[in-house]
Amino acid sequence: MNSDELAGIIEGILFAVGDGVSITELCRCLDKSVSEVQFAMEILKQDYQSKARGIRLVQIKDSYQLSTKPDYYGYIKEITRHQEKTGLSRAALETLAIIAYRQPVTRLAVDELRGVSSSSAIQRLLDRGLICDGGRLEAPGRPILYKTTNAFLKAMGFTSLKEIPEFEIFSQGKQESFNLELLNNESQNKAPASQDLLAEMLKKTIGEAEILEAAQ
Amino acid sequence: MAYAVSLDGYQGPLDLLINLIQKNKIDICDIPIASITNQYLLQIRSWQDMDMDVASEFVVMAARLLEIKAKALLPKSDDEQEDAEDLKAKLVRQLVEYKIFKEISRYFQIREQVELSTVYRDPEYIPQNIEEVPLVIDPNTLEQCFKRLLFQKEEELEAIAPPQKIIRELFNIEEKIAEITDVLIQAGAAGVSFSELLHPEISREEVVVTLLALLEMVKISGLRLLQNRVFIDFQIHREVENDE
Repeated sequence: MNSDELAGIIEGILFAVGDGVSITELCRCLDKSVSEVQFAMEILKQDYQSKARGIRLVQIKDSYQLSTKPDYYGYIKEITRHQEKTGLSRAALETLAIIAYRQPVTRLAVDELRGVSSSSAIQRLLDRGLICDGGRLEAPGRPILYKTTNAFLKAMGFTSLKEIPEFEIFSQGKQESFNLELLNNESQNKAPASQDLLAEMLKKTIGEAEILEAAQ
Repeated sequence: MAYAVSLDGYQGPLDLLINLIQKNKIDICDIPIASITNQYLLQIRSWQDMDMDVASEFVVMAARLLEIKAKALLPKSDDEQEDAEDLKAKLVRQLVEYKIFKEISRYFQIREQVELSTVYRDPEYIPQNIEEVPLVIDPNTLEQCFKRLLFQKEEELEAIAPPQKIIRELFNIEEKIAEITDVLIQAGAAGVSFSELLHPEISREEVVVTLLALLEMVKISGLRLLQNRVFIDFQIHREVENDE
C-alpha cells in the first residue's frame, strides 16, 4: 500500500464514521505507524487545499474529521435550506473568553471580571458543551472550576489550546492587525508550511527507499 | 404601561463605562471621575424615566463611582483604609482587564462565524455486531462472598446492642491520606495492596475512612487502582507523572 492509497483509505474511513477519528485508532485499524498515517494525512490535507475540493480536514487535538469548507457555505445553504445556525450571545462570548484564558476558573471569578452575574451565560455554555466541570477549588463551598472542552476548540476552529493567541497580543492592543491577518491569510499561510512539510517528508521517504535499495 | 426596552445592549456596568470612555475619547487610565459619574448617572436615569428596571449591578457601580467622587472631595484622614486614588486605581484595573476580554470575545466571535458556516456529516447509523460477553462467575468465589456476608450479618446483630457512649471520631480523611501517601512512597513502583493498608484489629470506621481517603486521592492526585477480578483485593499504585 503506498501513501496515496493510504490517504484514500483514511478519507473513506473519515467519511464513513462522520465523527472525529483519533490517529491512534487509525494506526490500529490500518496497522501503520503514526508517522505513516500522519504523512498520508498531510497528502489528504494538501489535496483538500485545492479550490476543486469542497471538503476540508479538521484536526482537533489528535483526532481528525471532515467538514465542508466555510467559503462554499453560501452554495450549500442554497440546497440544504437548513436553519441558520446562531452564534453565541455577547454575554456568552465574554464568559467563554474569560474561561478560555483563565481556566480552570470559578463562576465567582468570571462574575468579578465582567462586573455582572454570569450564571446564565455559564449555563448556556455548559448546555452547548463548550465548557465543563474541571474539578473543585479547595476553598469554602468547594466551588466548581470551569474549563473549555474539545467542542470549544471545534466551535472556534482551533486545533489545540496551544493555538489560542497569547493574552499579551490583546493586552497590548495588537489584535486589530491580528484579526485581519487571521481572516485574510489563514489559508495562504498554511499552504506553504504544509507544502514544505510534505516535501521534507517525501525527501525522507525517498532517502529511506534509497538506503533500502542500496542494502539489497 | 410598562414595555420592554433593551438596555442599549450593554453587557453590564463595566461595558457602559467603557462605552462612555470611548465616546468621550479619554484615556482609560486617566478618567475624569466627576464627569464620567455624571454621564453614568444620566444614562441610568434615562433608563428609569423609560420605566425600566435597572439591574442592581448598575446601581452598585453608581454607588462606587459616587464613593470615589465623594472621597476625592473630602480631606484625607489617616484611619481610612482606601482613599479615592486607591478606589479609582482598582476600578481602572478592572476596566482595563474587562476591555481586554471584550476584545478577545470579539476575536472569538469572528472565528465562530467562520466555523458556523461549515457543515459536518452526522454519523450514519450503522447497526453493529455486538459480541455478547458471557458473565463468568466462579462458584467458589460466590460461596466465599456469601459466607462473608453471613459472617458480617452475625457481627452486625451482635453490634446492635445500644451504644453506651458516643465514640469520638478517631480517624479523619486528611490524616489517612498523609498516612497512605507515606506508605506508597515507601513501597515505590511496586505499590501496595488494599489489604496491606489494613491491620488485624482495624475498626470498621477505619476501613471506611481508608477507602474514602483512597477515593479522594484518586480524584485529586491520580492514584491507579488495579483489580484483576471482582470481589478480590486490589493493588494501589501512584500514577507516574506524565506531562501531556
